[in-house]
Amino acid sequence: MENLFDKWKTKIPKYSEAHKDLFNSLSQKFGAEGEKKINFGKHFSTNYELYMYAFFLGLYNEEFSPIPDTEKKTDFSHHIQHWGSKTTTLERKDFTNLQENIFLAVVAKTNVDFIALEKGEIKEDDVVKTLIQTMESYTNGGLILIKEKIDENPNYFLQSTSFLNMILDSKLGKKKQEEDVE
Amino acid sequence: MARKDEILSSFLKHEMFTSKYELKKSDIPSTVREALASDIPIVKAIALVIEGLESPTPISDPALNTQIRQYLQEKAL
Amino acid sequence: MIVTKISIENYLCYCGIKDFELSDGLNIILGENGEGKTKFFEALDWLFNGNDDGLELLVSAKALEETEVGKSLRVQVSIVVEQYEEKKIITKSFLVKKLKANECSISNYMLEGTEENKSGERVQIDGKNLLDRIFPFQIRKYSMFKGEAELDIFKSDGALTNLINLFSDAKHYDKYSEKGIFLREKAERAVEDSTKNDKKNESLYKKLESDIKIAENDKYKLTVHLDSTDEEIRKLEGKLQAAESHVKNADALETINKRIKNIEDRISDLNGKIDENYTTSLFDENWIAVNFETIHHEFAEKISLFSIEKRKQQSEFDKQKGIKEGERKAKAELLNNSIPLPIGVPSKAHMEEMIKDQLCKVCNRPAKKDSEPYNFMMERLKEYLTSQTHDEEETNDNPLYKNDYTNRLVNLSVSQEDNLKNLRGVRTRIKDLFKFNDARKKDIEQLNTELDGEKAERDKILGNSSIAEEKLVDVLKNYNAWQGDLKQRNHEQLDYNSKMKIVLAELKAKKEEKDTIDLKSANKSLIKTRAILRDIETIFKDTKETKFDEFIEKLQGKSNSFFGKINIESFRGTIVFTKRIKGDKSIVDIKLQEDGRTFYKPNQSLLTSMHISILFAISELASETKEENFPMIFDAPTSSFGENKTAEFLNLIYETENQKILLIKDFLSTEKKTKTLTIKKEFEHVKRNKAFWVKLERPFDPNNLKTINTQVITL
Repeated sequence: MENLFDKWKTKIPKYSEAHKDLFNSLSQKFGAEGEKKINFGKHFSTNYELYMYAFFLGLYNEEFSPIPDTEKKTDFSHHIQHWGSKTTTLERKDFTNLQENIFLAVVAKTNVDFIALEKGEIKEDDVVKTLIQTMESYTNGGLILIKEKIDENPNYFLQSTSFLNMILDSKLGKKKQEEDVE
Repeated sequence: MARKDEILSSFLKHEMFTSKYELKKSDIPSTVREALASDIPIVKAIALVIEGLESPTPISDPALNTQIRQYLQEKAL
Repeated sequence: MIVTKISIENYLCYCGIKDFELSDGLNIILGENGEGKTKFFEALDWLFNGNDDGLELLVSAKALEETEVGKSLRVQVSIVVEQYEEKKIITKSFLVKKLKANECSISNYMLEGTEENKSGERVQIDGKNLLDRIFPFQIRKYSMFKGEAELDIFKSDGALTNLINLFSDAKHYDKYSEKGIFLREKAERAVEDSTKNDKKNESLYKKLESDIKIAENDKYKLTVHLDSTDEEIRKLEGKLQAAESHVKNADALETINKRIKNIEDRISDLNGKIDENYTTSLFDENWIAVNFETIHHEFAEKISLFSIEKRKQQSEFDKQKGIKEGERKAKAELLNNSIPLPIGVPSKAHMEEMIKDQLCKVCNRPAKKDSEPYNFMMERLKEYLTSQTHDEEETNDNPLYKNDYTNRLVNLSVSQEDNLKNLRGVRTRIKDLFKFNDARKKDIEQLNTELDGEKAERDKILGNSSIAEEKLVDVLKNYNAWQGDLKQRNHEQLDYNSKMKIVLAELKAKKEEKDTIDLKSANKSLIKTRAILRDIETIFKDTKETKFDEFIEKLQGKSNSFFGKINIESFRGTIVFTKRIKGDKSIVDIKLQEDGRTFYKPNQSLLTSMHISILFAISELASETKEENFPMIFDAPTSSFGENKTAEFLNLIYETENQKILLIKDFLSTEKKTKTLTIKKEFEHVKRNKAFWVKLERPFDPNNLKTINTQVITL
């Protein structure tokens, strides 16, 4: 039995260098929790957290924006399989399970011919590559949304509830709220 | 009243005279001169002391001691 | 004796000759601070007590300035008194010769006395002598006081002895007491020597003597202990009483501080409970997956479709396989549907042997060529041989799907399906958290209001206490410590007292024993003499004590009589004098008592009233003893009273006899606009026999002594 998920986890997704500043200002590269994080003035303890957030934000707002070829890509050298592992700190909980969510999302949103894959007509590596591309595109969309928000109101993210609210008020979020009301 | 008489009276007011020595008011002299003539040893002894100390040239300690003891020894016998 | 006139010439701020014509009774001298009041007092003090030191410092700078170089000026203080209807004058003076602008030479001072009899004849007499006659030093000691603090004359231990020597005939009895002891000791010695002559008693006697000595020693030690314990107890009670007024505050303060701390702890607690790590919770609580359900369904559907397609193709594929399967089935029927033995059993060699021998060697039946058994064996051998060469074909099932990703993907879908329930609750949980945080914030707000209230209370308490917060906290700490100390000291006192009882009893017993021996052995007459002298000693001692007590009672009575008259505080209690022995001296303690309870820390004005009453009492005693009155001179005795009380006080002492000269700073005010100093209207209502106002000549420069000149205005 083959495990596409395991294969996908070993990859490191990239982001556009255009968003380097966002990473610098909102997250702490090698990680900082609790007091340390506050001292640095960062909202996200690690780069991948911001990445994950941007992905979901883009996903929920259906903002699929592939990184243009003209933009250079970069990454932060942290494999997906480690994302959410908080064994080094007591302040946080482990959220490696969110990796599954991301995987499910990218599979759902990518056109993969699984039949061909299982028949061996297409290579596993190629499939994984496509999945990663989907991931990068949604993330890019999310990052753009964040940047736009800051441009619109530089103080928006000073509130503790701002990032939460963006998720709750996303397209999908609003739809869900309407459903709940019904 | 001369001072020495006052002093004598103050001493003779002591309750010992009436209780221990069983003196009556009439037995108690009012002046030093009277007291010096008294038969009661303690009364005369006190008078002697007063006389000695209140004189213009107060008596010295040894002299006082001799005087009083002389009197008392003689009387005591 | 009355002072009728005081003249001050060129003394400090008094430039030129300044006169005060005094009368009997109450003389009030008003003056602002620094304008000549205290210098007036000091001038008198110098007249009475001053010496040669620092004379040059006494010269009026202005007067010196106005003197020509080469000329002299005189510095003088003199008083005119009336005693026994005769006028007497005492003058103290010295000359100052101005040598240069700022240089002068000073002569020694002179103290001159003049007596003027009724006919007006004047006679010069020795100043010192005259001074001692008209105003003896010991009387002066109790008649002139600078400031409120000096009024407490019993601060020093020797005060009582002093007073008795001055005003009581009790002073005569001191020597008798001494002589009594002396005579008795001589008599004791005589008896002892006589007893010792009798050898039988020697050792026992000696032992008794030493026992008595030890007991006396113990008695002495215990007395010292008791004295110091008594003093400790007194001090503690004083401290406790002083603290008591603070303690009520300190107690309340402690309670409030506890409450404040409690509230602050609760606030801090609540702050800890508030969780506003919303961004972090997106991950840790998986809130970020709140909208994930739709996505999940997309995925599940996709996988489901794919799975269906996969199985469809698979079953097609299997159908094909099934045909081959049919062939296999046919073969199986040969064996009567029983499962055939594996290919290589029996072995090739065995089978070839059996075929050659045309015999089944397993069941021992013949297998003739072309018979059924023979053909079966041939077929089996052929199968075996074929299997060897066509291995790949045998395992060439050729599956349709090389890989199975489906399995895992389906698993994922299923496990995530379970999680969906959780996800649906996320919004509610977020809402609940917001509600919780808000509620906590409201609680905190309420507690903060409470906290503000408590803090305001605390400020009130601190405002009411005259000492700072840390001191108040200290007071409470000390108060409890002192209570503990007091208990202990009281225990000790009881302890010492009981020990003392024992020692005294022992002493008595030993002495009686000694006496018994004496009675037996010593010369009878010596014993008789000794007995009388013992009694005389007692009589002398007791009488002296009685005299002392009589004096103190007299003093107390007079003091309370004055106290009743001039007591401004309407204090209901009395001044109590208690005598105690310290070492070999008798000293007196003064206390204020109200309903039997001692007032340890009276306020300053009450203390002043008390002290002044005592001084008036002493003055009265002096009058009785010397059969003459003396003036009393007070500089600022009522600084702590405030103006109203001072007015009341003055009206009350106006009623007493004696000449009184009081220097006070009240009843003066500075007019705001003109900045001139004036006397307040209130002073008109103050009863007095004479009043003066000393004030500096305006304008003056406080930094330039040459501009300083006090004027004396009779009011």
